[in-house]
Amino acid sequence: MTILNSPNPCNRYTIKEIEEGYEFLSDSGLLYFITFTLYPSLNEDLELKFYNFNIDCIIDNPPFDPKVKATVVHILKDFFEKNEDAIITTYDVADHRQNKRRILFDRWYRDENNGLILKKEYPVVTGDKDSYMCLYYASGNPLGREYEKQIEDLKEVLFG
Amino acid sequence: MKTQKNNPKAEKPLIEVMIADKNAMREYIKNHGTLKGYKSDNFKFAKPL
Repeated sequence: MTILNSPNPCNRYTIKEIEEGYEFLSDSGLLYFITFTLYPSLNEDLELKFYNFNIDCIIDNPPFDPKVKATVVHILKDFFEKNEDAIITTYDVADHRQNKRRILFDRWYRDENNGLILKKEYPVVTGDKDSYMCLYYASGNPLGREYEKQIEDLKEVLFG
Repeated sequence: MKTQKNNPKAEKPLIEVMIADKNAMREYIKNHGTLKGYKSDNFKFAKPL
C-alpha cells in the first residue's frame, strides 16, 4: 500500500494507491475514487499521452466538501509536476447533470489555477445530450500545442 | 487519418465510448462499494502519480 503526499496537510485527505488508481475517504465517510485511464485508440503510435481523468464517489451527488476539492486539486497539480502528458475529462451525462459538473469543475479551475495549467474545451453531442470534453496541459510544456493539434487530427475518431 | 482499429466499439465515436465507460464505472462503484475487480476491454487503468 502506498500513501501519497504524506505527511498529510490537514486541509486535504490522505490518498491511498489502489490497483485501479487512487482513493480517499472523506470525514463524512464517503469513499472517492480517482482514476487515470488510457485508451489505446487515442494513444497508440503517439509519444504524447492523453490520460482520461475521472472522479467518482460512492454515492450520487455528494455534498460539497472543501477538503475533497483540495485533495483533487492536489492530485492534479501533482500530476502536472510529474508528467508532461495531458489530461482529458468528459462529463457523465446519464443523470443530465453534466452542466452542473462542468460549472463546478470550471470553478475549481478558476479558483485554483495560477496560470500553470491550460484548458481547451470541445463541445460534444452524445445522442440528444450536449456535453463537453476538456483538454488540460501544463502551460510550460513545450509540447502543449502538439496536444491541441493531436486532438484536431483525431477529431473523427473522437467525435465521429 | 487515425483509425479506430483498437476501439472495440468502433461504430461509436471514442468520446461516446469514454462517456459510456464513465457511466459503467460509476454504476459499478455504486453497486459494489469499490472499484476492485472492475475491468474494461476499452481502456487500461494507469497510475501516473
